[in-house]
Amino acid sequence: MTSVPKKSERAKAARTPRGSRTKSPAPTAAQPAAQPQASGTGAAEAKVPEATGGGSAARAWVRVYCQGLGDCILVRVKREDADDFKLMIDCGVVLGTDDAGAKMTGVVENILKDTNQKVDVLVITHEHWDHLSGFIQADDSFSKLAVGSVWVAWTEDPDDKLANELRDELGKAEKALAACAAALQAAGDGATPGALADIALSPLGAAASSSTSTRAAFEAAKAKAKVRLCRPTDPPLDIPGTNARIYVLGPPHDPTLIRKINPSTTSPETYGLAMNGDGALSIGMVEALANPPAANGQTAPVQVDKAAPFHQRVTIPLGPKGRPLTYDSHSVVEEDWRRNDDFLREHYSGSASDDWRRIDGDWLGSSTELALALQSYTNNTSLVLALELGDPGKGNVLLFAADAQVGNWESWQTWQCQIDGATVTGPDLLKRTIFYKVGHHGSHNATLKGHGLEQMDALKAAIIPVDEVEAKKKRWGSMPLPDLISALEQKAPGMVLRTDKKPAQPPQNVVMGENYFEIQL
Amino acid sequence: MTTSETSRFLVKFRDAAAPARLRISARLGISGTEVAFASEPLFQSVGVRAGRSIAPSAGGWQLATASAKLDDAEAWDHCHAIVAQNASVEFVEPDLVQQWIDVERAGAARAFGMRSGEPHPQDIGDGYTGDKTDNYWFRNTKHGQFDAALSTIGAAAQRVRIAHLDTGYDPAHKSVPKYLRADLAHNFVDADRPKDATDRSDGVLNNLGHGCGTLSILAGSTVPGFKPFGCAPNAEIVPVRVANSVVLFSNSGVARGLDYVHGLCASEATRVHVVSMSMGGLPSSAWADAINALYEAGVVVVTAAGNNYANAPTRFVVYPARFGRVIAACGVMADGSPYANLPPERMAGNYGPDSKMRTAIAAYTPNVPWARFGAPTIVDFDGNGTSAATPQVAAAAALWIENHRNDFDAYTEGWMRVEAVRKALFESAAKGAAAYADKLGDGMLRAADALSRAAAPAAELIASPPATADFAFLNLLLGDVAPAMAAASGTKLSMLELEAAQVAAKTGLEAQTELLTPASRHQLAEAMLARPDLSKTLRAVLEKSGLSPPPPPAKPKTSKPATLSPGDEAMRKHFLGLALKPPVPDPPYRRLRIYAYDPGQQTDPTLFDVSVATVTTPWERDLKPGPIGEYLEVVDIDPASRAFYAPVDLDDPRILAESGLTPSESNPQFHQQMAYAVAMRTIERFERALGRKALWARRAPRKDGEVVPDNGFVRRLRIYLHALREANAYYDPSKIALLFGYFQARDSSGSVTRGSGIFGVVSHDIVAHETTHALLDGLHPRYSERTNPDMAAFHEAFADIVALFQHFAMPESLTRQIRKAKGSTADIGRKLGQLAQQFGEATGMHGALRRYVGEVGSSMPVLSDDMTEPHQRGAVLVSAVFGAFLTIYALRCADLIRLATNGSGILPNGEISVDLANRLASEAAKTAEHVLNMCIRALDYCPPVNLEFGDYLRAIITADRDLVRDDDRGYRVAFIDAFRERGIVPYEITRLAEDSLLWEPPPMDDELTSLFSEVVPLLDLSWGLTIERKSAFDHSQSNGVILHKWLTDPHDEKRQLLRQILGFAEPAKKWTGMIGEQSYTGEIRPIETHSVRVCRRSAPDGTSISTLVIELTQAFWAGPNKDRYRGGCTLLFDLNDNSLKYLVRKRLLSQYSIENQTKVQLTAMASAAEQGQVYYPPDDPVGRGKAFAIMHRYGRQH
Repeated sequence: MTSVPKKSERAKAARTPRGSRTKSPAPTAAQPAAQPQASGTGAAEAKVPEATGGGSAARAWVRVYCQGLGDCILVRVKREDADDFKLMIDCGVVLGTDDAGAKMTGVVENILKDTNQKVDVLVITHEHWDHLSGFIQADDSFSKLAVGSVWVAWTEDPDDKLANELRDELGKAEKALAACAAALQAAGDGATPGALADIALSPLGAAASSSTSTRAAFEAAKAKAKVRLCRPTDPPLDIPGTNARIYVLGPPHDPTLIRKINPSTTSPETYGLAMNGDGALSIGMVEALANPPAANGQTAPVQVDKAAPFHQRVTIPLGPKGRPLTYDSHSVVEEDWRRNDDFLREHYSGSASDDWRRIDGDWLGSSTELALALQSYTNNTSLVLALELGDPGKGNVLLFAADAQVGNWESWQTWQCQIDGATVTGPDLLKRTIFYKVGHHGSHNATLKGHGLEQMDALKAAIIPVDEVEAKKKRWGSMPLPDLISALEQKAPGMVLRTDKKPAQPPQNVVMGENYFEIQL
Repeated sequence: MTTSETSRFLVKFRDAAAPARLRISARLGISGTEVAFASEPLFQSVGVRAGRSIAPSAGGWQLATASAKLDDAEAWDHCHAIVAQNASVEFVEPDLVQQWIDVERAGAARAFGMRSGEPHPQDIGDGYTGDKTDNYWFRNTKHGQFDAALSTIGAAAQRVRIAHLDTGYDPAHKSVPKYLRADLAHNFVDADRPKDATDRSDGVLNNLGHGCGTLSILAGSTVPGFKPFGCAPNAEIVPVRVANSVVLFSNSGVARGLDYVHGLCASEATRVHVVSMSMGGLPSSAWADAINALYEAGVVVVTAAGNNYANAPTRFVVYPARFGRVIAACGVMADGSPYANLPPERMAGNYGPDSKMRTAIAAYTPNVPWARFGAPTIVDFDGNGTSAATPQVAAAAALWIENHRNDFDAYTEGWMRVEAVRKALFESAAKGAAAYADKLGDGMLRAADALSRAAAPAAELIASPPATADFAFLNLLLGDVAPAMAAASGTKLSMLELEAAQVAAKTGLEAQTELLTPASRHQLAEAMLARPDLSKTLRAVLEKSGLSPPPPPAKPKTSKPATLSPGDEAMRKHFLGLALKPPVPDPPYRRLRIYAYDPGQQTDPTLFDVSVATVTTPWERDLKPGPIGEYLEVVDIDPASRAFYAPVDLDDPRILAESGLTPSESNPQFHQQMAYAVAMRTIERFERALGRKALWARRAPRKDGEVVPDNGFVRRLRIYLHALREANAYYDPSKIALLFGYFQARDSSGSVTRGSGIFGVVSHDIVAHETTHALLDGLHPRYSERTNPDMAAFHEAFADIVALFQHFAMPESLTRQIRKAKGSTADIGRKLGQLAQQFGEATGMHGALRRYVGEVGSSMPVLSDDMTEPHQRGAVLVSAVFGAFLTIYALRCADLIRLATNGSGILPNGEISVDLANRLASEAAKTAEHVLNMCIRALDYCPPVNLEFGDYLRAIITADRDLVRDDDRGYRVAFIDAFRERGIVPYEITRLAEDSLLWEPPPMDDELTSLFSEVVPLLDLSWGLTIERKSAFDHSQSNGVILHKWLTDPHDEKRQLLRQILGFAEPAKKWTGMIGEQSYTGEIRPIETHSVRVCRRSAPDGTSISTLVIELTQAFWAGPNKDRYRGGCTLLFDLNDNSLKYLVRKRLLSQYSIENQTKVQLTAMASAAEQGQVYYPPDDPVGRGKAFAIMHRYGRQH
């Protein structure tokens, strides 16, 4: 008992710097949050009941695994009369990670050990390898795990019109990107296709056979138990035997928001995947990609290139090895043909020492943007869950945002649901969030500022599953973004953890496992 | 490096039998001061002594010393004056003091004990080869065959004698030849010990022990612990010291050395058979006489072909090796490839011209043994240069003589002996690959094979023509008129030729004579005229030849030397040639039609009739289809369409007659014409403002260790007109190419209908903008890195300023707007602003940038820290310059308005009169031109890295003040005002006035300042105006090397202080320290010389200003991510008095710039994420070259 007031004081002391900042929220907002905190940590479990003064009896642990650049999270909610409620979210690590199989097996084995080989709910947030690989890489271990129910987003619903539209768009974009990769390869640029695949998180071209495995991993996970298709309109799911419940916040079932992936201020309505010239690829590029060279190379492409800049009477089509076509020997005056061929070889294609100036693949430059859009597009379909500990509308919230992008976040602002006659809103949940699993490994557009982090007045802890070195290799920009880290630090000083950096001295309520961080709430 | 001895001349008198001492005098210089000369005989033997033979041409050479100190730069003027005023004088040349170009390997390193007691190993890699398994490889059967040759030679009855002309020898070294004839030694360097040829140097000197090294190869004794490697160990050696320890020699010293050898030949007991001299330089007529005498006396002379770095100063064989009667020793490496054309930091050997290579042979270098001076028992294995090759050839000659002594002695004429030896060496030499023929001469030396060749019968030998100082260089330049011209100028043709040949050799210009065409002859003459050190006489002759417009008809370069008697006949022939083929002068310009406004997105129907303009571009001779000219290479390939568009031939008479093809969007050949025309205009504008030729960026190696050809010189900017299928156009710095895109209109608006094609390349502004990026990158390569918030913005803004004002400089594009203005000049300004805005909108690609210009419908932008987007930030700078333009324009036409309004200043309502509008438009165009010139000129006054807008203002003000002392038109005030209003304030400057904005002179005391001015004479600055861009580039590079060596000399404390003042840190592989309050670890990279360039400009008041601009940079790679932070400085020297005028400095380890860079990179990252773009960190190889591509892609929605 004696320890309780002390801890409460420490918690306050730790927060004083925040209080001194002008932008910091009113202390009243922090007050109720401080209450359950006082209960949580420390020695004897027996003391739990005393700490639940506000009427909400709740306690939970969030374990985030450190397998690399990828997500695997185990949430346990304390139940008095039975086993803890166990929620497992995702299980994967990014392509190209060393020893991925062993790492993921270690993760799943740890889950088996500490869950008694059974989880109540398995959540699959979205279809990316870095969230799913474990289901294949550690399938032996995974087969030992019993699962109560599998939750996926409505985007998996085969009868949903919007879901089908999205799938169709994704398919087209993937095809276009694969065509870009193939064209780059043909242009002698061997490096970029790999980079494209890394950025898109989707193996392209030759490696595409393994792309089915992302799907396969998803299917393997779905096959574990009955699948629940989660919609943001769903009523909250009460966790039996506890005063806690889970809300589905996203992805939004809204044709605009589900496609909004960038916070661009200059072109807010950009739809990254549109294949009609409004997206990353221009109409002309789409047209050119749809028009691969004929197999024998000697004849011009079969289709008419609708985006060709000039009339045929001024255009010299190029055939194999980039030399002017002849069609047949009678169709050209040899001298004219030779003059052009000589020019091309002298000034473009003829000399290996001049290769550095060739531009065969440069027109595909914006394919990297398409790749990035493709990745973000899938990210934005992330299933986002808010776990509320305590009385509805009053308790502390744990926010699991997966890799949600801009449109997903924005949709929460208007999200609401009725419970026990009260209205719970999205901003309200953000305001009561004490724990945040940072979205998309800490990248820029996966944690909104105004409609996100700035509203999290009660935040006490955040964990970023990330591997900065790997992220840099994959050209995913700065992961985690330093700006974001410092913003989080302002909210929760000393309690912003990242899985690629073990703190020398773990904070009081954090346990460092062999391959995980666990925070007690 | 060459300096002339200010007061000494080599004078040849008509009368060979003149008294021993002669006095002459001459009135010299502008003031015509009478100067007396005391003279003494130069030669004791050549032309004096009746030996075995007397060289017929040798007159009476004397060494004349002036009574007064004379001006260096006018040495040849003095020569011409002396010969003109002294009837007894036949010929005069300056007694040059020259330095042999050689590696510094020996020098500092050895003196400071940096070479350990161990032999230095072979130096292999970066272009050098060797054989690690065999330190004596040059002697083996696959190479010089000396082991084999020596084993076949028995004991000699009579020893062959070799004279070794060098810096002397180290008597303590174990390698001293067994048969060294110290009794015959002579010293022409130290007057106090004429009979002692030992080298007694110590201390910090370069090239220490040159003679010790070459002598050890020639005939060295075996050094304990090493295998024998002396090539002719049984020969007698006569050591002659003709150069000091840094291999600095005077022409007279070498001439006397040769003369001394000649003297020894008078007696059989001392006769010298072979001369080995591992040095040389510019030609001398006295040398020619001495060489002829030695040839006649039967002495085989072998001298070094010369060394160079990056073929500078010249790759042609130096003198005396160039003389036909001397064997030039060139270099060949262990793998049989020529020791020539190596990477710039590697010393290489000289070769050419082709005529010389018939009497040249290649011996082995680098990586041959080399006795280490001052270390009696050490031999290094990295002997290098043609210095090392020369003794091998001389030794082979001596071995052959030893083996065929009887036959050798039996020849009746001295020259036959020489020719017999040469024949054996040349014919036995191994011919290398055909491709190397021009570099290896007669082939690779094979001593044993040579030995096995019998002496040729006398009848088979042919005498070589005399070595001559009539180098015919001038003849090549001027043709048959040269003698007449010389006669008219009152001096000797042979002297003019020697002077011209010296200048040509010193500058490398002579390399251009290899392929002399009428055009290049003209250019060569111009390049010669650009030399400041040309004598007035030679200058006058060249200028006069320039007055006769046609270059004389080409004649084969083997044309006979000017033996024709000068006079009327030559002139007559010359004129007949002209009459038969009347010359047609090249036109100064080419007229080409372009779109003045974007045809595609033009929304203002009133501009319809002015949308086409005819512009002029400089006339390029030999413009090839493409167009492909000197600067540009238009290649119209369209990979997305898998198509190519035939190149336009702008020289087609049908196109020429019509001022180019008719503007048409649907004709790709017109696109090519338009891109060429606009880009050329932009280049021309740069060249005019900067006062020198424009160079593109250097091609960087793509990976470490890659050697790029030509030292990275890129002659032409590549232009791809239809490279992209998107609304983008950009400069790719990794390809040094412009890429333009085309796309389909998104919506129907204005005259554009949805789906119709829009081409970036038919927009004047886009082409000018992208060309400017390329030009700026050529000048300031580091500006494309985002090292502070202003850098990317500056690149964009500057490109837009050039595009905008270049556009405004076409008055026809302004007249209509000005006519429509009502009321006052302010209205006109507003109209011009509108026009500027429309240009921006019309392009559809870079529209965002100009939204602030002209203050129409938006308030004046003020710079603030939260403007992070480059286009937004750049717009402030564009707006500032445009504001200054409007102010200046209003000032300039105030009088016109007053005249037109009877002093009221209020223009009547309605359109103003056509006359007035035309005048106002031309004022605006002129103002635009001036403003643009100011903006471009300022680039030379900018720091090489981390430029901020405030710095740019200071650069504009300082550059303009240097050129125009009085600001009576208020230009500078207008700039300061406009920048101030927009919040552009230089860092740490509080008072915005002209005086406080000028860059400051460097904070150095007199001692440091004068130390620094040492560096200027080391550089060859003649190329400032040179016509040939490659040569300008090469000179800039080699000057960079010289400057770098000088500045980074580790042993001079003063220079370390200097480096500190310049803002540099001492390089360190591992450095840890505090910058500001943060601790950093990382690598401090070496200082780099970025640019050494000269600009010469004429001020409005008629004076001319020559400024030397030096840019130095340095990088700090901070761990652990190798973040690159840069520092650097720009130094501006006033070349009129060699003084350091300004220092523009960005410290390397500065907290301010590191914070700035961190901030801007975070911003860039965030913005990339916001735009859905991939962010490439600065060091990401995949992102290389994409900076502009990505930045320009942004904003395409507008």
